[in-house]
Amino acid sequence: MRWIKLILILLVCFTALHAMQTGIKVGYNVSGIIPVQEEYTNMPGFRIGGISQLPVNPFHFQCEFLLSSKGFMSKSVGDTRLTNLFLYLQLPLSLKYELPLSDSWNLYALGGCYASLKIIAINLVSEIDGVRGLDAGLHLGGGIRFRKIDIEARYEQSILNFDLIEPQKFHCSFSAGMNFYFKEK
Amino acid sequence: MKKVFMVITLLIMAEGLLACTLFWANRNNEILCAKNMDWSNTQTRMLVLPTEDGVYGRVYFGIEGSWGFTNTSGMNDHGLWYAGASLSHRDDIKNTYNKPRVQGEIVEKIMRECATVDEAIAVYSRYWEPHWDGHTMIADRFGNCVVVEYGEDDVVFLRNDPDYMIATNFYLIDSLNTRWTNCYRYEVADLMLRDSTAISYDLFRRIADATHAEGGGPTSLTTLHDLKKRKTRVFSMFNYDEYIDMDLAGQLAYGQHYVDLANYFNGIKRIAPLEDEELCSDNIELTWVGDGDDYVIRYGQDPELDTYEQIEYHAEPEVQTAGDWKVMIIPFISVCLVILRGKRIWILMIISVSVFSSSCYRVEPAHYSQREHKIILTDQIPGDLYWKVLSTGNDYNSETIIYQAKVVADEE
Repeated sequence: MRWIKLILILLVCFTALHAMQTGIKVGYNVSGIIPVQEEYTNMPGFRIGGISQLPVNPFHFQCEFLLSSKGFMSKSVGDTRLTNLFLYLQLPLSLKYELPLSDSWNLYALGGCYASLKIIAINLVSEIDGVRGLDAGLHLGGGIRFRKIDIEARYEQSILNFDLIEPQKFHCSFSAGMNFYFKEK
Repeated sequence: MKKVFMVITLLIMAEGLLACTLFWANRNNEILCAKNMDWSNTQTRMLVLPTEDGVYGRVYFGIEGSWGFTNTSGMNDHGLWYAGASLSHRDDIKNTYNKPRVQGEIVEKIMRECATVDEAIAVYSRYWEPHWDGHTMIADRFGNCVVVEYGEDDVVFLRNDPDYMIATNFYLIDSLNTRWTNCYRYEVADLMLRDSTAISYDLFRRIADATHAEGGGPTSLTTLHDLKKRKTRVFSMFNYDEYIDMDLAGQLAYGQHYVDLANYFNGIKRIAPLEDEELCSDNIELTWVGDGDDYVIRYGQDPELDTYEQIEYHAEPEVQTAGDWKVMIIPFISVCLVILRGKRIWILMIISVSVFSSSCYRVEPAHYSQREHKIILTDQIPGDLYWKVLSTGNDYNSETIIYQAKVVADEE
């Protein structure tokens, strides 16, 4: 909890001090496990949260605070698949480069790292034991901006093994979504 | 915070919420089995169907919904027991071998006609039943137990090995997901059964308590069965202090009957003395809560209370408080309507409707009564004192587990 509060305070201070652009982010994601194994398949999920960005010429420094689902489906008996859902509070930090196309349209690319705090890991049978509480990883993405709206796609992969019982499992996810800023640049 | 997200997550996954814990053991010449029935519907019922020509007498436990009674476990007069626990939904199950179907459920046919696990397996092998999104544990009085669940193309039978079996809400044949199906209820029951040398109702009660569910799908009914003696012990709404004992033969003798089980539980629980609390031999206060009016309190130095003394206790009828305050709302509003004018009337109406409607929300009954009772014992022998409370005056009388206290000599 202290960790979450600290992040919130930092985020608020960051925003207030620099009068950055802030907004909200919503998106759909498909997550899975690296390395790919036949018995594990991807599962759909979501991400939602706040976003703020600060111009640092020629880039933008972008900070997000997200509730993000990850996980995978594991093969069970017959055609049954067990849905293993992991919910994280995620703090991605990115460096963003924008390429203006017109007054209103910008193309952009971004990359960075993230840290995540596990809220819960669960499936229909039980809460899942032996899952690392903290996760971290890298992400890469791009999108297009029109006035106050971004449409963005992003790939991210953890660099920490999330499974403490049977190691060598890393989260990966592909997300697509939108950012809505409260004001134009 | 974590619970909030747990709720949100479970809401997302609510379609497939799974529950129930089944366990069976055959040890020290005893064969016991149990089911924790975890369900959001807490309308627990018991249906007793007597012996007829070629059909065994049987008792079913389950719930009543808008569609009627649904049995989720049962035992017949040959000591064959079954219970079900839900599993995730499957769309891939077909009648691969074109087996005939039975009228009704297969387990009902088994309860009517079978006395052993082998006979039950023969029925399952011969007939087909659509997947009910669960698996079934069946045990007999000869020490056999099997879990029946759907495999790749037909039912599979998992026999008992070693001398106990547990089933919760994952496929026991699913060897691929052992890493992810680490069900704590399964693991707790497994640990407690593995670590015990002997089995008893008390051990099974403690396992049921340790694996019970609360919240949206609480353990509304726990049934423990002694298959050799054809006896059943029932707990309601995860109050593991109070139970009702039943003898199947006695129930069958009453003929067919259908019982709302919750009506016979009184929410009894010990208040004082606490376990191992030291009490002065001249003034021992035994305090408990319970909704009933009539009780018998048994006490003595025998841990099993096979020899005991007893006191009958009759509670004064519960004094009704000034009545239901809600009946006052109509006169109150009427008076206000006469006195008040303008916006104040609307404000009053809004407040009144809000208060009244909020008080109409259904509240789950408390698992323990709020009504306290007390007796005082004097001149007791120093040493361990065992005691229990039995309610009386009903068709089914509940009783508590045996409590312990320590009596010390009066210093004077």
